[in-house]
Amino acid sequence: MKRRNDDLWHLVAAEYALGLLRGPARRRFERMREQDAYFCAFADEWERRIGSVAAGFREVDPSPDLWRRIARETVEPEERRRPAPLWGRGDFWRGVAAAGLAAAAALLIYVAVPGDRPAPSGPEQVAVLRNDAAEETFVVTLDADRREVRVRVVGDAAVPPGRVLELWALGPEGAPRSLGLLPPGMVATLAVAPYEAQRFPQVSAVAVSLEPTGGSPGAGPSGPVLYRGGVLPLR
Amino acid sequence: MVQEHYSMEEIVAACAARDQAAFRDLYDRTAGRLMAVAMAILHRRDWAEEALQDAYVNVWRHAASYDPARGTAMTWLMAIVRYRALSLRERLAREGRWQADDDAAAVPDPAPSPFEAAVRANAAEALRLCLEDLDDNQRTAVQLAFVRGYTHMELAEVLGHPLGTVKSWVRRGLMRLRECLANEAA
Repeated sequence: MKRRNDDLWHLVAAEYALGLLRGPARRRFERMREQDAYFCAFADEWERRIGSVAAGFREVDPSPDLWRRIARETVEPEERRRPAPLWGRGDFWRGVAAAGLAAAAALLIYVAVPGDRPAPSGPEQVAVLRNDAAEETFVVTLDADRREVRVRVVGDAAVPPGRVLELWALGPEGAPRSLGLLPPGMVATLAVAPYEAQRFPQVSAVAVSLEPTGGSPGAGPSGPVLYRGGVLPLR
Repeated sequence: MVQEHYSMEEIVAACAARDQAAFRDLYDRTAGRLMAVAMAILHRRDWAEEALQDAYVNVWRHAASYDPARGTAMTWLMAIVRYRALSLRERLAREGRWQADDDAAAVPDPAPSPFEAAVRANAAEALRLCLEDLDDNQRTAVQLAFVRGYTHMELAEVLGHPLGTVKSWVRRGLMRLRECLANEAA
């Protein structure tokens, strides 16, 4: 994609990545970057360049207690806090299984016969996610073999500016696990870690929550859960 | 425990999935390098560690926002640490605790700079060649911005030239650098 003023925007992106843009100019470019792949690509390119320089620095060991300080703010509180928050409430996943399974069955053909893809080599699971008005909005396929989640938008999934949609899997652990942020567009494929893919067979439901840019700041959804659906094996 | 053969990208994805062992592994693998990035900007260990702590907490919270299509996990981590270090320095400056010259490292070094050492070690040959293409003022200004993360104001102070002059060195330097890198890649 080529636009006018490429040179100018390259320069702004470079100054942004270097930290030379300050105050409102910085925030303005940050927003442009989040909302427009054109600016994003420029900033990414300069971050890679800056990173390649920093990669050659001689390593400096931080003091041994730095990890403790980080752990106190990250992994430890999560251990202590569990269980209870939003997703622990009885009504949170209410109706997911029944409504989701029916919808999934109705849409099976739609998902299973895309025509242009070879047949799946292993078990896949599918979930149809509905909004509060029970309108089908997303079809989500969990593919453990390919370690990916495929998402197709089948209804109206408008996102307010400055917000993102985050996809969650609910398994036997009780707490939802993030599968990633949904990029804009009708179809998306999210790669997942091997650890996550191994857990797919235990996933019973999938949900999408509305989150601030960058995703939920916590371990579970921080915003409202807008779409949800139960998981059904595809074969 | 996370196994050695997982890539950094897979480890970040595991962090997004709230895998605590993966997070510890990520820290062990990257803290030394990221500490160097923070030290280049903040010069003092205690400040660098503060920036690092802030960065890792954010990495844990926002691991899901990492997109492998946009660059390596290491580039992503370095950008986070860099932005955190820069904003900490901005805060220190606001509180009157930071001075661009509170460390000998702040003055341009006639010996091979960490930048030059870095690009050589890294075999980022194109970048080095393209830097040589810049005139002396542009090169010094761009190097200090890359390595030290200096603001325009700090560059003006350190280089002893007016703000407007230094700004245009940086701009012209960056534009020529990009043109040159684009030609090298072609």
